[in-house]
Amino acid sequence: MTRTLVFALVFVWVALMALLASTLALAYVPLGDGNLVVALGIAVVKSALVVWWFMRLNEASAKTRIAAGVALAFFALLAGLSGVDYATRARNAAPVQDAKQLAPHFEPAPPAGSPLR
Amino acid sequence: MSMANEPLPFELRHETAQFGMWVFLASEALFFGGLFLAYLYGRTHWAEGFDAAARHTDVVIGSINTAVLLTSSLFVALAVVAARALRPSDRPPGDAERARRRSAHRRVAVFLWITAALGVAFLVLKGIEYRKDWLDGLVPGTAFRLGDEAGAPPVGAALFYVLYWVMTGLHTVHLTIGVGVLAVFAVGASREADWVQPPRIDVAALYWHFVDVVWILLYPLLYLPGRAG
Repeated sequence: MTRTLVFALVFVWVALMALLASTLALAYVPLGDGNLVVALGIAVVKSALVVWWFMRLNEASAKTRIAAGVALAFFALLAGLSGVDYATRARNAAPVQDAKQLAPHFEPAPPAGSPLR
Repeated sequence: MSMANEPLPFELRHETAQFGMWVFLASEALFFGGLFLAYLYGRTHWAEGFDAAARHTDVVIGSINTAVLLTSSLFVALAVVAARALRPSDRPPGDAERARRRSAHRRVAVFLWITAALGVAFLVLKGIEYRKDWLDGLVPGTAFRLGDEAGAPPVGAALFYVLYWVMTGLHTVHLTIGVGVLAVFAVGASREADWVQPPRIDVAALYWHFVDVVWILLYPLLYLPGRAG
């Protein structure tokens, strides 16, 4: 049984290295925003392999799996609820920012004397 | 009536230790999660700046370090498998049993030393990379520049490097702690110490794998964007 397990772990390692090589190669293929999506997708697969096989979640008790799942769920909650704000609003200047600070972010820059100055 | 004084059965102890570590790792995941969220925010608002900045991280050292950590995870997983032979057993005590436990201890020690050595290799490479980053001017501040690129860095580039230093710095702190923990267990296993028990090796390994997973997720965010452009 131990021997089978060792082979499985080595096989997972080979898969991880293959995924690393492919994500590195794909980073040089122009896909626009797709590059980040592909790279993150591969990273998620690699993480899942480590979590499931190396961290033995495949044979862990239900409550241990729940603890792992809760981490994922709370990150989704954090990103999702923050996204409701960050992904849907226009960037607004804070009153303390001066025109020079704002110039690269807002075009045209607010005129001098405006409340945004 | 004397329940409180009886040691918990081994399997229950093992499961409790695992569960406790996973709860800790869940809190750690949210600790890093805030930084990943900050990255997500920056990348969606200043995509050009982030890509231009990420082009200047050292992709060679970053990729080698990823391979080093993935390999270290394999070895710590093998240490956990080897430690299974140290579970309490019904075998009669004697020379054969002592020899069996000794060889198990030795295997655990070797696998843990290899893991810790790979961790040190990661830290050395990271140090070389940090020095190069520093000389390339990739430190946000008044002297911030993107290597040899002329002109002011694009908006968002400095923010990328704030996240780069904080995220890799925090990861390095975790990794350093991990190397320390594994080295302690490696020394204990070499000395066949009583406190080197499967649940503890298991929990130390879980922490190590977690640090590996954080790096797996950092790698595509810090080293791969902007390469195709």
